[in-house]
Amino acid sequence: MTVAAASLLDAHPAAIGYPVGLRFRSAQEPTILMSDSEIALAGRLKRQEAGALGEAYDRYSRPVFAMLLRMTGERPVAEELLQEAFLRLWRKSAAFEPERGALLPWLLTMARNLALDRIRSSSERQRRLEAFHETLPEAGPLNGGDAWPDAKLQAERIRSLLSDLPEEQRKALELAYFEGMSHSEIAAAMERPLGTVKTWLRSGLLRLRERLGAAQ
Amino acid sequence: MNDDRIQGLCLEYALGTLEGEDLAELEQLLADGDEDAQAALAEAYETVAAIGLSAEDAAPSPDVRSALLARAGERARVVEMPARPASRGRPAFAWAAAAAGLVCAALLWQQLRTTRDALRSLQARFDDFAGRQEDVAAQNERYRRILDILAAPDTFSVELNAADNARIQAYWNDRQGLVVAGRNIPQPSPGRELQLWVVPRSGAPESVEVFRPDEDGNALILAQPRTTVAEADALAITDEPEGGSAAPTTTPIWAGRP
Repeated sequence: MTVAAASLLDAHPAAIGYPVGLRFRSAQEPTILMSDSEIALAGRLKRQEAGALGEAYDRYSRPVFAMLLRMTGERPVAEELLQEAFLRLWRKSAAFEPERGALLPWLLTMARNLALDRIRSSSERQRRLEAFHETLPEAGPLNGGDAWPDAKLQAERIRSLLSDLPEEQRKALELAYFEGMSHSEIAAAMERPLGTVKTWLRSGLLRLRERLGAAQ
Repeated sequence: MNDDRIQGLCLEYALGTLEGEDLAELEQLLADGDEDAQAALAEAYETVAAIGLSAEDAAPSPDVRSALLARAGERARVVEMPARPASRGRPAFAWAAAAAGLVCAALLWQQLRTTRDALRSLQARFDDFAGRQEDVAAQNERYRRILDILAAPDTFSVELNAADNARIQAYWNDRQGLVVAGRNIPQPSPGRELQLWVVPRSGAPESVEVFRPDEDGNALILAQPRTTVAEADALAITDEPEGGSAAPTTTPIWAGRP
């Protein structure tokens, strides 16, 4: 992530969100929508009320952990980063602006940045890159419980949307998102020209954005 | 610039893959306060964050939750003992029974007080322990951040030079922060302290930290300057009145360029 992106996240941690309540903001919709319970939870976090952090954890830890595990490939590392992400949520909650966005995407973005910092500074990266093609999970049904039904439905929807993308676009997006790869690294990993990879990423992102908007 | 191009740039920016001229172009728009670019970026983060939800479902171990709450200092509160309800006497009670009841009530009351005092004592000890645990956790967090900065591939190293024996090295990462580590730093005079500044290419120096080295002349600073590496001309340390100054009032003792 670039300097300015990190600065933006620090300054406006909630400005990046989509609601957990099964709605994605469309391009035309000026306001990010949140469920009443999520607004209430955000307010309780902001006031540092007892129990608020536990409630946020119960609500969001599972999807955030799933992403971290996918990125790091190791449960202890993913659990450590999960704690770190929620601690940051707790410590920065005073600056949170519930009217500007939702918690889950902020948590996902923050947790991803933590994981990227970790894997970029670790020799583990090479090992994981080599294993990429073997470990890449195929789109398929979830096998979890109902602890986070809204996010679970969202996950099913996202998987469906991603699986509709051309295979190479989807792989390029996953390499960039979960592995934190640059254009040239993706080009090397997929053995394709740099320009092709750039086109895949741009097209894949625009298609995903379009389909998320249409999925409302 | 048309909307599709802005949206494309923002999406790649949020994904972390935007590079070169495209990156500079978008960052300039954002720095100029372009509202369309800011709105597109907010939406781009939504889209990109959604990719994270496609990961295979997995649940963390139950221990993580309790460890998190302990680290956050959030804990169950000891419930205050409720006030004793007013007793309802029966008019026909004999004095003996009343006296026995009073004795029992007194004993019960004493027991309640003892229990409450014990609970308060335990609570105080728990608070003290939790406070110390938070201190240790905060210190660990500080060292972990420092290690992260040192290990990050995009961290800049800056040596702050001077004619004396002091050795001061800075490690600066825009996203993660600034670490300044120094050895053999002479003690400032009484009533004076050292102040670390980021000197931007244009505008006033940014005060980062007011500090004193420890008795062995060591200092370790972890800070998050507002100024970025790209915007900075130098890091500098000056001798200032205790508590620091709004702007440098003396010539830098140590300085270095990123």
